[in-house]
Amino acid sequence: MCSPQRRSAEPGICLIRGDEKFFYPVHSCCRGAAALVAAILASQLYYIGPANPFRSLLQPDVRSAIFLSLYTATAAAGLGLALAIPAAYFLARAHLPGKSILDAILDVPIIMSPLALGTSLLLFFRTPPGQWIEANLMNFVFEVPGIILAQFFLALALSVRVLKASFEAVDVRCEQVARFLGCTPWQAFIRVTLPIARKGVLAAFILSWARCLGDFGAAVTLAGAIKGKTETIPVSIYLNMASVNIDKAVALMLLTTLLAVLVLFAIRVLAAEGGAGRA
Amino acid sequence: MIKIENLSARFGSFWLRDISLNIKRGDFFLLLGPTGAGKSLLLETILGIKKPDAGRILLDGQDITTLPPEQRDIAYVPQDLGLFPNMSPLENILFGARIQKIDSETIRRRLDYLTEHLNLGPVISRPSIFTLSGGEKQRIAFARAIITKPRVLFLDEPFSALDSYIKREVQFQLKRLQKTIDLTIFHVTHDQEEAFLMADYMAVMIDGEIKQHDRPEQCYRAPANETVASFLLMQNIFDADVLSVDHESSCVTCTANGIRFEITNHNRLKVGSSVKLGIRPEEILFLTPGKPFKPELRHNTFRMRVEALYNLGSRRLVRLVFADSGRTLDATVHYRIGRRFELTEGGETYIHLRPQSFCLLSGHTSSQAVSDEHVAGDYKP
Repeated sequence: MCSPQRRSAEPGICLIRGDEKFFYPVHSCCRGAAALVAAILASQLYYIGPANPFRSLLQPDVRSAIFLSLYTATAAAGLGLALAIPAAYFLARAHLPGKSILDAILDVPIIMSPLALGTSLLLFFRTPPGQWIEANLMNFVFEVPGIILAQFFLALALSVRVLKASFEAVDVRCEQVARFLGCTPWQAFIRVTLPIARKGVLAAFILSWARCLGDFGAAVTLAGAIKGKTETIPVSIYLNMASVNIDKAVALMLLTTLLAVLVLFAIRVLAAEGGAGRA
Repeated sequence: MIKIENLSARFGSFWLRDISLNIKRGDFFLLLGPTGAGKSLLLETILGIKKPDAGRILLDGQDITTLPPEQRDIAYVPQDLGLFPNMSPLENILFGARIQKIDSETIRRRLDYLTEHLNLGPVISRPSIFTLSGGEKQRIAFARAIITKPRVLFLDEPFSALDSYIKREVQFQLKRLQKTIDLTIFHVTHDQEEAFLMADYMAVMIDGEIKQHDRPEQCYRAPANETVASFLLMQNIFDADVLSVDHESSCVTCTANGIRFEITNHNRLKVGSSVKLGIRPEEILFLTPGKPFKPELRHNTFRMRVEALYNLGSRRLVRLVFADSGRTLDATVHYRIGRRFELTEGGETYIHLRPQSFCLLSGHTSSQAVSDEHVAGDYKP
């Protein structure tokens, strides 16, 4: 109940006399910021005209770019998650000297420029261990595995960040109780911690998958922008813009925008349900 | 059953010092102490969650000091219960039984028993633990811990978040169940009422040390020292000197701040020795105004001024001042008695302190203390 206060148009906000002078400017700023983003997104439609914007997506080169992006993003996000789960759990639970250094190092791919990350990877494959890997295991430079590797680093850093918060939200007492009920540390992790943090795991995968899908700088530096070979969606947008194929570029941009909206919606649904909780 | 030998552990600047305890099978053992005394740290050290620096923990003769939790065959209910939020109440209860691969017939039998004795019927079929009340969650946590039939159940202030009327009911249920299935329980709390209600044996822990380990009634009547006495709300403590000893009547006359007390001598006190005397507020007897005193009340009867009256619900706390010395004394009386004796702030009254109501505190263990009988409440001269 808000009486004697007045309820504003927004649910959950109680305005007391005089609050309007603060609330309405803040509210206007929020709407203005959202309008700016929406205007930029809407400007894509201006270039499409009355034609079906998604007709270009059916063309073979564009479809190939979409499938390559989906494949590399899924592989990179999956591999990143596989390594991020134990790493994030360690960061969330361990109290050891040097933990903050590990934490900071794992954050670097998020902070550094994607171009710098790609260049670092390229330079690595010029070192003796990198050359040995290229010669004996797998080719990464200017190849599809290079895209996955560059995206993997982005996915790993992002997943560690999201998962660490999720594991920290899992009550450590639940794990302790599970141990006294007969679980080994592995069983407690697999049967208690991971299921409680499952929404955080899903959120980490979705976020890192979306980040990989939209990556341009890191992948293009290591794997190049080779049409029909290492042409992901962002590379395709770049190449089509360079060759003044605006329709194709904008269709791909609309597709990525749509995917971004879906991802953000999914993340908000997961967050509303709670990534991890306590009893 | 559980034997803790000279356990010491350091956590930052806090020390658990040389803790030794012995708990028998089937006992409801209670570790009582104020907040910050180190109770939960001791519990976690015994459980193996924290590492001791010295000492060892024996369970049925087996040294479990370094054994991993899953091999100890004990159960633990933490303060926040640690219920698994992604599981239903039934899945929570059955979790340990399934991990330990207990056969389904045994699980069903135990579940039926616990459902009946912990009144789980209305809650066991709920889809989520988030729809449960505090008391229901509590009972689910107990059932989950007990269904695996652990050798000892460790409880860390499990009732602290419950409303008092729900708390009392769950406490009764747990106590009944513990007696019925002969379960050994190690329970940590700062709640004195809970401690005296549930414990078969208790230890009082203050500043990382066990100050007294005894039956609850003994801890209540005869605290081992001044620290324990103060914690157990024995507010009236006097530093006194022994003036004379009457070997015939086993009575000792002491003086404190010019006030002469006669106390029962169970400790063979000598003339000239210094003692610390304690008397509980509820042991102070008010005398009916205007009536002559009985001869046996010629000693330890004092004229007092009522300095303040405090309402404690069903009781009144009366802060009294000795008319001659100015020394204060706290007494508690039932509110009806307070009315009958017409106690008013600034007024006068007479009290009597029975010689056997005193206990000796300083330098004496609980078994040496003098109080031999607890009689509280009304007293007519």
